[in-house]
Amino acid sequence: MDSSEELIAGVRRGDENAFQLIFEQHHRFVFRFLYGMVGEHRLAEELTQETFMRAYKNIGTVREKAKLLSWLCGIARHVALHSLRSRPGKNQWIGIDDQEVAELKDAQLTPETRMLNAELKTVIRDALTALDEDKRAVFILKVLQQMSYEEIAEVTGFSIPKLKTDLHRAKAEMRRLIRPYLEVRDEM
Amino acid sequence: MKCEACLGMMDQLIEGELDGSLSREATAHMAMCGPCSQLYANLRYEQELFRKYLLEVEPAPALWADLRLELQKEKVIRPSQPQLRLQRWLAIVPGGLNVTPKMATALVLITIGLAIGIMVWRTTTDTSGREPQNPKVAGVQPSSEANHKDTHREADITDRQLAANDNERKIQPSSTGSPEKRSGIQISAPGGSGIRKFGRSPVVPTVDQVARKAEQQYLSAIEILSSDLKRRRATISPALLSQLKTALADIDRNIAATRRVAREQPRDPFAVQYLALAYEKKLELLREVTSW
Repeated sequence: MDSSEELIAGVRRGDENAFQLIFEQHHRFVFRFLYGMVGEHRLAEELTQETFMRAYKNIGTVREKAKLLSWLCGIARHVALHSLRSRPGKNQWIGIDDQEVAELKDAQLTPETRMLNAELKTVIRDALTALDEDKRAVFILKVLQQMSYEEIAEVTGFSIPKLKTDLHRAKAEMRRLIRPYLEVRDEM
Repeated sequence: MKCEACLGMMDQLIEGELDGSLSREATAHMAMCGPCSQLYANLRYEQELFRKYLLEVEPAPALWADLRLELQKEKVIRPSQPQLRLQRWLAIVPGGLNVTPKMATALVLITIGLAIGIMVWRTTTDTSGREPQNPKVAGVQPSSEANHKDTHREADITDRQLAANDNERKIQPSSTGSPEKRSGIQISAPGGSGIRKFGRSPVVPTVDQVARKAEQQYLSAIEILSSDLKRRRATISPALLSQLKTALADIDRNIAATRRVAREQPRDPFAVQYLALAYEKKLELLREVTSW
């Protein structure tokens, strides 16, 4: 049992294992999208949990079962927007202490390179936070998670021309914000 | 194709949204044009940097256990089958039985009788259990001739012990490498070294008790490695030390989250496994740093 249709049917019957499979298949994607949106690891985890709670409760409303991921991302986007709006002025909460353990795994990198990577992450995170929420969502789904415009339109409900415009602006803004850092990095 | 047209299509090309013929034209142009080719390489590099930023983040392994707990709290997820059966019984018994005073008296008498019967039976089995029937029984298969007389009782005890041992083995942290290098923690089965003992059966610890014992062992190992790390602190560069602090803080956060779930669901072996994994990760990191 691994097609979306079967899994959804299983969840509707109350099969917890089916829901666990859905979670296993999609939670990383949803978590990363939310991490991109809110920029904070623990909050992204909480919001991932909230997203799947809502998904479980509303599994009966999935219209196109093959598009489960888009549906989940749609919920995640609402959850993220709600969280961001309920914490006005807290968009600057992003701290430098949220770097990843993964950096330590690469023993081949010098400490300087590792520090630069950590800095780069902070720069990207700050740049993402500086984008408005719609552009940020589009940028994450398209550039970071490589969804098609059609899929993003399903998640956001925006028209494709608006998505293209938003993405174009988001990219320009991101480049403007991270280019100075990249130039310094390239000189080293 | 001219440079202007190529530049206009570059984003679409990187996103994979350009159709076949245009994509081929743009690629052919870049093969001939240094500046366009350089710009394309830069844009791709940026894109990879952005992607890497998200791909490297991982949610905590305890996320599912946490979610499941939340769903249970909100009574969205149905309890497991045994729980359901119990609930049905509890729902049926008080309403379904019309207990008269005579019936109540009879029930009380039956309960007292049963209690006395069980106490007498326990006393006799305990007495026979203390007798040194066959000291060689320990470590011998239950089907051997020596303990054939008590096959039923012993088999029952063996099954219970095996089940308990299995439960415990599930949360044994993995331990690889030589024992000198790695101090992997082993939770031994009751009775030690896996030898089954008959006679007076030892108290079988619960999953929670075993988990707490394992946690203590992990904490002791972590303490030893942490003090080792403190001694070596001066030899580690400040940048690396800062990253190490961050990594340890992340792992500690994960440990706290998994511990919370394990405490809330003390009988859930998955929650305990996740906690053991989180501790194991911290141990691994400390081992790696102290072995430099």
